Amino acid sequence: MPHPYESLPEDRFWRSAVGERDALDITGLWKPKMRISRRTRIVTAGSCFAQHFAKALVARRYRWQDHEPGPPGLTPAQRLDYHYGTFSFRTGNIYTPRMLRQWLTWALTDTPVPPEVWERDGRFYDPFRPGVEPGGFHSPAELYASRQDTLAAIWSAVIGSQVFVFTMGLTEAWADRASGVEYAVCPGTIAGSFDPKRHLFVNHGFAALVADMQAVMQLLQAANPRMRLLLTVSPVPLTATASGQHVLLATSHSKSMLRAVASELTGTEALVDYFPSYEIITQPAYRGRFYAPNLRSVLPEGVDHVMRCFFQDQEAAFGPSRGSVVAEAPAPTTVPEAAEPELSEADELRCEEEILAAFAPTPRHD
Amino acid sequence: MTEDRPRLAIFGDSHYACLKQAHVQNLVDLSAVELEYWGHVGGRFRNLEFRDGAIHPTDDFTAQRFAKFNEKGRLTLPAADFDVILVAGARTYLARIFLALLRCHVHGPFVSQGLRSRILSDHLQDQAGFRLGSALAGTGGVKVLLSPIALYTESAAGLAQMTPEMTAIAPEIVPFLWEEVARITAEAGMTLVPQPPESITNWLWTKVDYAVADHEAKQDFEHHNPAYGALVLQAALDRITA
Repeated sequence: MPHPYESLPEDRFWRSAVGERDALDITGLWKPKMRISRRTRIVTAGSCFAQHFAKALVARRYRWQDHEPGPPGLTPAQRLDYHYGTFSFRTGNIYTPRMLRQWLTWALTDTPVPPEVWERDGRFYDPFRPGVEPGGFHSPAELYASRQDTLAAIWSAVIGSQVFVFTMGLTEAWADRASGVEYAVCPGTIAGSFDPKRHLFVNHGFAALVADMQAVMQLLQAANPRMRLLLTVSPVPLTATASGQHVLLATSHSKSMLRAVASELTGTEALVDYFPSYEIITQPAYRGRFYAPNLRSVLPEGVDHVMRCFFQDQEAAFGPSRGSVVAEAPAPTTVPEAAEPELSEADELRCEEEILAAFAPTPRHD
Repeated sequence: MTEDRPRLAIFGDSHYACLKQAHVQNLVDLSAVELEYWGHVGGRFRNLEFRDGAIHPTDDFTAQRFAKFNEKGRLTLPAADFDVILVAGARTYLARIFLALLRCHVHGPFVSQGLRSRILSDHLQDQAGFRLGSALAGTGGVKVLLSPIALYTESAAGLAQMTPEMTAIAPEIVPFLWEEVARITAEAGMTLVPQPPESITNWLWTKVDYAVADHEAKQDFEHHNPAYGALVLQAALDRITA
C-alpha cells in the first residue's frame, strides 16, 4: 500500500523545494485562494511593510484604491510628509488587529471615536494616528475635522473595494485602562504624556488576536459581503519591546503569533487568504539577503522579490492577468491643478505686446 | 535732493507693464524715488539665475531682452545698486491656488492649516520671481517688495467656478490666505504688497474696471490697465516712504 508521501509533489519536500535551490528559485510558495487581477479593486492597510504593497500594485497598474488622496495638486513630497497615499486612507500605520478593528468600528458603525487628544507644545495630535500631521494640528476641532475625512475614506474603501490587504505588524500595544481603546503608539512618545495609572501595556495573545480579526471580518462583510481579506505578516522586527523580554525574543513571539493567526483564519474562513511575504524575507533559506545591515529594514530588492512572487503565483494559479489600465488612477500626478501652465506661444506674444506697448515712446502726459 | 531719493528698481514680467503705463501717464507721483525698470516676458524667467549678489540672465538673448527697456541698459540686476526692488508679477501667481484652497475648505477634502501653509509656501517657492526676489533680499542691502500677479479679471466663466458656499465663506477664508502669503513672504526676507483691496471683487477676482483694454476680445484676463498699475505703485511707494 503506498504511503501518502510517495505521491506528493516536489514542493512538499525540503530538499527539492528549498535545500537544492538558489533562494531566488524557490517558487510556488503561495497557492492563492482568490484571483487578484488588474481589474480587482484593492485597498491596503497595516504596518510599514504594507506601504510597499501599494507601490508595487500601482507600478504594475493594478487597481490600488486611494480613498483619501488629499487636496488636488499635492506634490509627491507633500503627499509623503502628510501621509496621503501611503495606505488607502490616512490612518498612518495600523499595527495590530485591535487597531484595525477600532478603525473599522468607528468608520462602519455608529460607535464614536473617543474624544481624547494628545498635546505637545501647543499643537494637537490624534492618539490613533499621531504621525500623519507634521507638527500636529492647530486645534482639536481641526484634528476631528481631519479625522472625519479619514473615517469617510475607510467607509468608501470598504464599500467600494474587493480585496482588503492587511499587513499585521505587532502584538504589543498601549491601551487606555478604563476604556480598553488602543493607541497607535505609547502615549508620551510622539505627543501626550504617559500615565502608568491610565495607560496599560498589552501583548495580545492568540485568542484575542483571532477574535479581533474575526470581528474585522464581520465588520467588513457586513458592509461589503463580497469583500475578501488578504493577510500578510510584516517581516520587520520590533523597534523596541515593553514585554520585559529581549527584543529578539519579543519579535519572534509577536511574529509567530501573527503568523499563527493568519494560518488559523486562512484555514477557517473562505474569504481570507495569506500571502507569505513574511517567509520570503525571514526564512533562513533566504539567508537574510533581503535585510539591510540593521537587520530590520527590508531592502528594495526584497520588496521586489516579494512582489514578483506575488504576481508569479497569481499567474500560476489563474493565468496572466488581463484587464486594461483603468481610468481611476490611484494617485494624483505631479502636475498640480492649481499651478499656472507654462506660457503658450500666443501667451508669450500677448505678454510681449503688453511690455512693448508700455515702453513704446509716447507723448508724455504732463 | 536727488541723491537722497531711494533708488527703486521694478523687476517683473509682462505684469509690470501696467506700472510703467501708470508712470508714463503720471497717475502716480514718483518724484520721491529714482526709478528703473528691468523685466521681460515670464517665459524668459527660466533663463535667470541669482549669483554674486545679482540676477543674471543665463544667455545673451535673455540679457538683451531684459536690458532693452532698462534706462541704463543693464544686463544684470545687482541688489547693491538699489535701495528697494519691487518684484512686480514675475510669475508669482496666487489666483488658482487661492481658489483651490477655498474650494477644499467648502467642498473638501479637509485641508489643515499646516497643510495649507505648506501648499502655499511650496507654491511660492516654486515661482521664479519669488525665489529671485528672496535671493535679492538675502543680500541684506536692499528692501524687496513683492507684488504678486493680480487675481484674474472677473468674468462669467471665472465666477462660475465659485459655488454659493464658496462665495459665502470667502470673506472668512481669503483674508487668512493673504495673511499666510504675507507671512511666507516675510520669512523669505521680502515684504508683501498685497493686491489693493479696491481692485478686488468677489474676493478672488479683479474688477473689470482694471482690466487691460479689450480684455474680452483678447481673452486676456491676466493683464491689467494703468489704473491698476497706479494702485500697485502707490501701495509700494507707501511702503518705501513709511
